Amino acid sequence: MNERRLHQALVGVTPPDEMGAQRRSWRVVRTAFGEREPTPWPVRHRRPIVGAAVAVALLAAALSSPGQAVIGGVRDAMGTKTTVVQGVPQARPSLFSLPAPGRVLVTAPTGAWIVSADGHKRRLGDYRDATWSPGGRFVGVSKASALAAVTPKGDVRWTLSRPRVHDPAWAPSGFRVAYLSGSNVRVVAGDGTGDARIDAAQNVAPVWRPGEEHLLAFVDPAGNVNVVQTDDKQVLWTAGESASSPMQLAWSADGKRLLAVRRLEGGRMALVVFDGEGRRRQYLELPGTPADAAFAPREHSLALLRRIGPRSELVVVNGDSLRDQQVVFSGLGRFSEVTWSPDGRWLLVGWPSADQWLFIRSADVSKIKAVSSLGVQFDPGGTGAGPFPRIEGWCCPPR
Amino acid sequence: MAGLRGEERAWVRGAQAGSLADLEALFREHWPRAHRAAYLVVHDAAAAEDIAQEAFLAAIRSLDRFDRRRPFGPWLHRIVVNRAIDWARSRTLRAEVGDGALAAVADGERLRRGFSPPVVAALAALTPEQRAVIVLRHLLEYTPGEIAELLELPRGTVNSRLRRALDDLADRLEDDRP
Repeated sequence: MNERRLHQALVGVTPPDEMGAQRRSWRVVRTAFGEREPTPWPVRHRRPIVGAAVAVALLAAALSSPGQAVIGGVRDAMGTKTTVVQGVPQARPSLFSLPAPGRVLVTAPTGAWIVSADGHKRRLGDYRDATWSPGGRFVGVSKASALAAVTPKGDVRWTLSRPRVHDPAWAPSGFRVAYLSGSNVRVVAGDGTGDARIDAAQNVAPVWRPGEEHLLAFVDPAGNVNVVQTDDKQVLWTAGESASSPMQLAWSADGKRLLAVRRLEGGRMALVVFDGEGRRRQYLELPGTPADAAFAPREHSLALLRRIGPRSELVVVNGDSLRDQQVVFSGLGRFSEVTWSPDGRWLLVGWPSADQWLFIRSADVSKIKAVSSLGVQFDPGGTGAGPFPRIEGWCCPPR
Repeated sequence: MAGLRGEERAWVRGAQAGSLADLEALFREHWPRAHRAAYLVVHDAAAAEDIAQEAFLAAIRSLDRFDRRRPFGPWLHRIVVNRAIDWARSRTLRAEVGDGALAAVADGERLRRGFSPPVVAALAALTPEQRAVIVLRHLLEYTPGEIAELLELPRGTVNSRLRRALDDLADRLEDDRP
């Protein structure tokens, strides 16, 4: 083959899905371009001056009485000083057992942890986010620049270096893991191979539709909800308008409902429920700022946490008739996450303001088991300061 | 070529000033070759897409510092080819551990992607460094001197690498003939 023929052969090569790749990349590039801040010359000379000015301002503030208040406020925000409200009385001082079979996955400032049914806690490593694989055989974990799969004993099976990794989600088939990396949603095979970008995405955790197909819901940079077949990157449907820029997505266990939770202005929220084909089935605006929502394991009931004024509420809502609601529990301060036990009989709610976890029986909500001092329990030998341990999921018992 | 160069300068100037249309013109002009070059070095469609996209994102991040008197293409291709070489090397070195069943699924996917043209298959058998010089010379049409500059290599190294890569490629294409 002479050089001319080699050139012709190379020019004639078409990478698979060339047009799709171009289209997806243009969306990402366009978004990045829109978000960039032009760097005026001579910025490198200006930075030390700005830094010095900030340092002087901070010093002056610290030496004045109002400045001390400002610093106190900063400490609050960093989580080293919190206001603890009265939680459920007679809470257990430690997590001795879970009320239902399974294991709870937790992320704390000290890393990712698994809590067994007998209350035993095992630290998996220094990870920020975590997701169960189906059946609980593995845990997908992430830190700033890596995604990894570890066994429940903490042995690392594979790692993948990527920038700004967060919100991993293991597909119900077990063969894919979705995650966010910077402003992209990406998918890698369950053995850590074939990592690929799916599309540009907002900072909202992507969610897999239950089933063997690899259908993923995510929010694109324009705020639209997209459902994509990740193996061929074909978008099955897109929904904007009423579901624009949701803060959370959740599939029902049968994959027939997709919930989008939106935060509205004026301390209100909207719940939007789609069917599997993208048709909007329900829309309801209601008071409160949303914190978390989760569908029950077997039906279309969903648990919703919302903040109304100084109080927070756990509400169970019928996903097929959103006006059908029941406030299950209410308390002062902030609730963080809610998850269902694998058998659907218990709800686990994080209550950072009271430093408690609440286990609430779904069939008889008067039955509440509370555990206190969660911060310290996931910081052995420490003070438990810092962000409250986050509940990542309650999975199946070990096989 | 001079007309295109003038047009390209105008696009870069416009993009630096915040014009999305000019950025799009730059993207449309340079994406296909950048993407193809990445693909021919890494032989993985998803990775090629990532690499080309990340090269454009890196270019956007550095756009304000870009010297408009210089052509945009070599600047972009330097990023693309170096990242592609890094990716291909790391893939060769990385020993991935996984379930047997999961690996079988991944292999099945590779099979479904179909057969490549003979030149692509022959190219895949070369080292990443050899693929890179072939792509730079015979797809992007840089001179050995320019390739040496892009890859920060001595010119003699580029020449010998190119010669050996072409010989290997010819051998493999010869072997594939029925």
